[in-house]
Amino acid sequence: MYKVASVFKYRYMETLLSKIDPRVKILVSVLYVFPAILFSNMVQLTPILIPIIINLKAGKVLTKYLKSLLYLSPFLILITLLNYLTMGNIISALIPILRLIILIGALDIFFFTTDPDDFILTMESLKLPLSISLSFALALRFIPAMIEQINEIVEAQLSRGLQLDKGNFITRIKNYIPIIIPLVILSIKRSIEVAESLEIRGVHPKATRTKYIELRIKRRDLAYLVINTAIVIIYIILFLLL
Amino acid sequence: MGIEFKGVYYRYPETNTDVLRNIWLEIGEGEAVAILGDNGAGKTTLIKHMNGLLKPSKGDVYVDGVNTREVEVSTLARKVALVFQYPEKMFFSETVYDEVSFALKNFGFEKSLIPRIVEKTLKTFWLWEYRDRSPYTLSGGEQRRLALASILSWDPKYIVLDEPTAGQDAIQREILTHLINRKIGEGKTVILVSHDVEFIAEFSPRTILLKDGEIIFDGEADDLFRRKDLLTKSGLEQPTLYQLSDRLGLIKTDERVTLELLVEYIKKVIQCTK
Repeated sequence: MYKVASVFKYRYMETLLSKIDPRVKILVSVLYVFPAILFSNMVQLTPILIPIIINLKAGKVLTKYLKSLLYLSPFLILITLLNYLTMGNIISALIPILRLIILIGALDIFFFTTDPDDFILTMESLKLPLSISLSFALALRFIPAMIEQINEIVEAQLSRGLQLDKGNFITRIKNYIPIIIPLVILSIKRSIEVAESLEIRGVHPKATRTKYIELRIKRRDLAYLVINTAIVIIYIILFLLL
Repeated sequence: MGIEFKGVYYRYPETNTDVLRNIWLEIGEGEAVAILGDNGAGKTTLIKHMNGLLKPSKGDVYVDGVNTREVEVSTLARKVALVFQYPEKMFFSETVYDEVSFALKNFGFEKSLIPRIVEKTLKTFWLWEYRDRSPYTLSGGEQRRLALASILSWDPKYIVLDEPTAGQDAIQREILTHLINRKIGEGKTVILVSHDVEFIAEFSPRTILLKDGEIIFDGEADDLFRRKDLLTKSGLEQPTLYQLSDRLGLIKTDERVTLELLVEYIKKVIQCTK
């Protein structure tokens, strides 16, 4: 569990993508989703992975993406299997999986290369209310702390003789109760603490806020957007004609 | 038989520094041991090896002659009870009573025996009257006692306590001292991990000082507390008694520094000046 969760932890890396304006990145991410929705056969779908992979590589998060796919693989295999059983054709059973892989890759261009702090700025610039953007940013921010907490609780309960991988399917789920309950209680406690400390430091949800950092689109951002938009448009036209 | 560390190195995954380096350590049965060291010295990592939660990157750990690599945590936990820092974080049962019986059920104690053991344990820890309450409604000190009770209920041979006094007031500390002394008296091996030199001084056990993952002192607590240099190096202070005797020039004597010794000395000085 610890290993899986640590894949999603954000680590700052000096790359081209980490410097790009987050709003541009989210736009590019969404752009790459279109072909996945538009097309429905292997030949049309697969090549779009190339620019996505190049983007992820430029952000030095390709291994992270592949790892996340690896952890998802049991789930992906299960879907393929169910699809195959209902459709009876392996190729069409693989299409939804391919779409999912493209979707994850496209969205990871944004999620894996953007600092949780920039999320807040992005969401504010999208005119989302502070209560939503702040809670979202805080939720992301607490992922590493949560991972640590899960680890601590698991170790404490193992030391009290808990065996997580014992018994049949139902018992195994029940085995997680001593992990989940303390986790929920601690999370609630922490959320109250965070709310209080925000208030202590002068955060008021209804007050008008000034900005400390303002996002500005630079030439570099525009270039990045234009290149990626061009790729997607050319791609769509090309494969629509084919 | 005891717990034995043989040339243990440990490195957390995805890091490139050893948290433990070349640890050779033998803790015998019935011994009281204190492990001291500053933050990040490797104290918690060291004790997590004792019940197999962590396996060494290099070297071996043996508990009663059994290599920790070869057995499951749940088997070792029956012998080596590990009480983590802020153990009250792990409560999940509806009542104090259930919290204590959880481990007993895990370890397969006979059903008819469990109520008797729980009752005895709760009474020892002065918690019997709270048995039907939710653990989260108890006060901080009571929660800490319950956490200890829930772990010591199965009567483990080795008891490892990580910072048992953290966040506790003077009365709770005294209660903890009493409970720990009782366990030592019963012939249990008690291993205390702490920053709290005053608390350790009350037991004056064998003391191990860790610094950057290495053992830099292993001996009598009394000897360590006289070594101001070693303590300062590890970000620790001498206990008040030792500070006072240091200033009075008493620290160089061979006698163990105790409150009585100091009082005796001060009385003599006062009489002389009269």
